[in-house]
Amino acid sequence: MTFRRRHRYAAFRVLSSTRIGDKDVREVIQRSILELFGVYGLSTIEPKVLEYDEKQGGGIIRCNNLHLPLLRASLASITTIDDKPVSFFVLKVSGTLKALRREST
Amino acid sequence: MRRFADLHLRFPKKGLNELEEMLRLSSNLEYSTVAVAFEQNMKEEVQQAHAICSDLGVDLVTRVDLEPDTAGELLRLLTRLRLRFEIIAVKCSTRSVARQAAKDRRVDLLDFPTDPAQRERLYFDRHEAVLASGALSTLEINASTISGGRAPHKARLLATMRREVMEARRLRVPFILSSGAENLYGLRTPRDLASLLTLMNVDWDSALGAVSSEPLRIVERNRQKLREDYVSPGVRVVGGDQR
Repeated sequence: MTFRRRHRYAAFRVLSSTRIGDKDVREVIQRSILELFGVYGLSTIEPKVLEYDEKQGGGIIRCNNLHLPLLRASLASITTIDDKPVSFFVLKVSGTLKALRREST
Repeated sequence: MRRFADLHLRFPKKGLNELEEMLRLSSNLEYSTVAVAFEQNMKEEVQQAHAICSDLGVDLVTRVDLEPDTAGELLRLLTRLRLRFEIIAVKCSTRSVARQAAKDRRVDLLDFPTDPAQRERLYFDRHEAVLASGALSTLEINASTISGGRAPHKARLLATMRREVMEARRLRVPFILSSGAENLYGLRTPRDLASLLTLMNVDWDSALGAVSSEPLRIVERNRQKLREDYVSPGVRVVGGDQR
């Protein structure tokens, strides 16, 4: 018997007055999860930014399907990047990347 | 389809233009009802905000945040303002104000200090919950309180809020979660807001209720009470043509 890992894919948007780089987005998400849930939380949530478009300020993040609320809480807790105000919004969530892309277009 | 409400947008420092942007974003984030906290003398701003919201298709609720120093001052403010605003929130700065606000049926929302040290001294404790359970007041938690600040600060606040929510649930006192946003960056999607309640051991269904059914119920109840034909709960004057 095998245990297949299930994921949730979330389309998110970053609201900011300036352009936010890919590296900053990945770092701030990881830092927020670590701050709220620690290393154990990070290991269970398994976040991974699959894509991020700097121009649009949006991207797709993947996480463990059981811990989506924790990922959402972590994103909602982000208020600044380099002392500039930002906010993250989860716009759509899906069980597959294909469905998420289809719904987002 | 579930309808969402954010009952706490603070009137922004930059004025109506920024408020319009906030209301537009709230509408895009799928809020059907939004409450803006106005100052007591802002009659013109209220009218303009109503006009903006009718264009956007958002239901605007007028709210006032009272910050009295004594229970007597609270009573005076309630007498003066209850019929002018749809939602009345009280920032409880002293224990006597908190107790009076919890038992007064004219108060809708109870807010507690945002500073962790102050909040550990004055929070929604069991006595407060007992009084609130016999009245109509609701515990309000602002996301802006949780999301800002350093980690130790946040940890202390979360610990106190977890106790508050536990007391509220034990005595069946409703609680709601609002953004408390004072600019665009303070806004969150309804489900993102609800996810913050999972930090207080609230299950997902109840968390969603705290940003949808609970706040909408308060608005509905108060609007009924503010109608001219309202007499008491369940009783209203019926006109000749409505019989």
